[in-house]
Amino acid sequence: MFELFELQFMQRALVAGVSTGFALSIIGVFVVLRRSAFFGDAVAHFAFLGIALGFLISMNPIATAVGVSLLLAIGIGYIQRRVSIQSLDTIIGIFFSGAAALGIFTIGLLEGYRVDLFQFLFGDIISVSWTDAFFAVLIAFTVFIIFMITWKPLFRITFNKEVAAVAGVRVEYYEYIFLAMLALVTAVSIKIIGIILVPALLVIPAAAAKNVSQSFKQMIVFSIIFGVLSVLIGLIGSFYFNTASGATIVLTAILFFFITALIQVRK
Amino acid sequence: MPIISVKNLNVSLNSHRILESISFDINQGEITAIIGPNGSGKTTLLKALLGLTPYTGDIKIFNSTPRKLHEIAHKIGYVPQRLEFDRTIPMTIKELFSLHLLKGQTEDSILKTLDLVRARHLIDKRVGILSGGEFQRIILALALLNDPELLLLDEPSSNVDAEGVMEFYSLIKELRAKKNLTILLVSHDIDVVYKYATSVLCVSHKLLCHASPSEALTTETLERLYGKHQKFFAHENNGHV
Repeated sequence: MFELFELQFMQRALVAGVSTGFALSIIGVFVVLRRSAFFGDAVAHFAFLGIALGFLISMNPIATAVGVSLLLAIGIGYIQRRVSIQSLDTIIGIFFSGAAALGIFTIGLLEGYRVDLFQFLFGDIISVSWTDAFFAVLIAFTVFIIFMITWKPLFRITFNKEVAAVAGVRVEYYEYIFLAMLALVTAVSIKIIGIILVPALLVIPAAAAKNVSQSFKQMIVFSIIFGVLSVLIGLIGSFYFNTASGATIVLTAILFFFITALIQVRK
Repeated sequence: MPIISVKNLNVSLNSHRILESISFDINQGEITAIIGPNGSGKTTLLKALLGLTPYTGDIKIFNSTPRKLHEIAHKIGYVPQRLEFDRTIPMTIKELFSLHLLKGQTEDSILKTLDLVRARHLIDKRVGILSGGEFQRIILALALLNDPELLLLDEPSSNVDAEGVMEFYSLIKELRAKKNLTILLVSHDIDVVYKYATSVLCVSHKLLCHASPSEALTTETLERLYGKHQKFFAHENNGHV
């Protein structure tokens, strides 16, 4: 089994995958506790639009993905505050569909068939470069540092915004930090693991962790463990079963969810 | 100098005027009750004081403004009417309180505050499994954790049974005596207001009275607030409109 780890592409995939799994599992805890899974999915599609725009205007697609994700994520909050007749869910649905449609429209404007674009969109963890892997480690490290600094106010806001605001937490300021982290991790992760896998790793490990956690700290630790293990087991499994790595990772994460749900039901 | 000073406060929502030309002062150590019918703007008044809703006019709390609430937040404790949160959230009482500790406070501060509301035994329980009464005491304790000088309570006993209500307000009175707290509370229970408040604000979009309970809770004022067919009966153990 260990000869697997001697393969260069597998080493790169493991470093990049474990790092993105780690970062997404941390952010995912807040996404799940805020009941924002749909929002997380929408941000992934905003990044998709950003990547397509990046190709259209010949800019770094990761930079445009972060910019567009952040702008649209903030825009959702802004519009919801002003068009109070519509629910947040409806506004997210409109932005989600709009971003996907505009992304596909933009791809249609590009000249010729772009293999590199499709790699961005659907990711291929097996073909990541050391530069990608380095980026993933850097993002994981950055998310971890920001999380260590901001987890208390973020968690207070997650519990109840009003109580947090009255206690002196600058709610809007931390909301923007959260959105920035979400946009950054999503954009970078899409390049590595693809648009399908990002929302999955954002939600499933955290949801599995919630099934078996008694405290917030436990939920963070379990989410990271499930996220990283899903990537490791999924990657190794895909190698031996000769299956698609992304799908195998998601199925492993779902297996964790069902096992923990069973434990929770039996309690 | 008053702890709260409100001058010509106006709040509108979607061009509907909720509060109009409200002015009053509240001094240290007072227990002031805000009374009025449903939808009269009582909760909105508290939210304006806390900067949670946009307003025009002049509000001063501890000589600061609600827009700079983060500067004076440690002096204020707040118990909302309905604290909405995800009951499935994995968080123990200890964890909830740890999140709210100020610099220099330790776990000992948590235990002391829980003792105030007789809830030390709940420290390792998950927030989501508490009963209405237990949760109310925990939220009051949370508001008291940083040793505030001003406590704002929005119908704090709405989820508690009749016996629990009296116990809750006895506790509030006891805390006020111990810590010289200033308390502003919204209540529907006229008997509670009569027994525990030192002054009353009658609100029905406008301020209809600001006086001591014996002066404010007259048949005339209550009729103006709640309509002609309402009467106040002061019973030995109970009172209601």
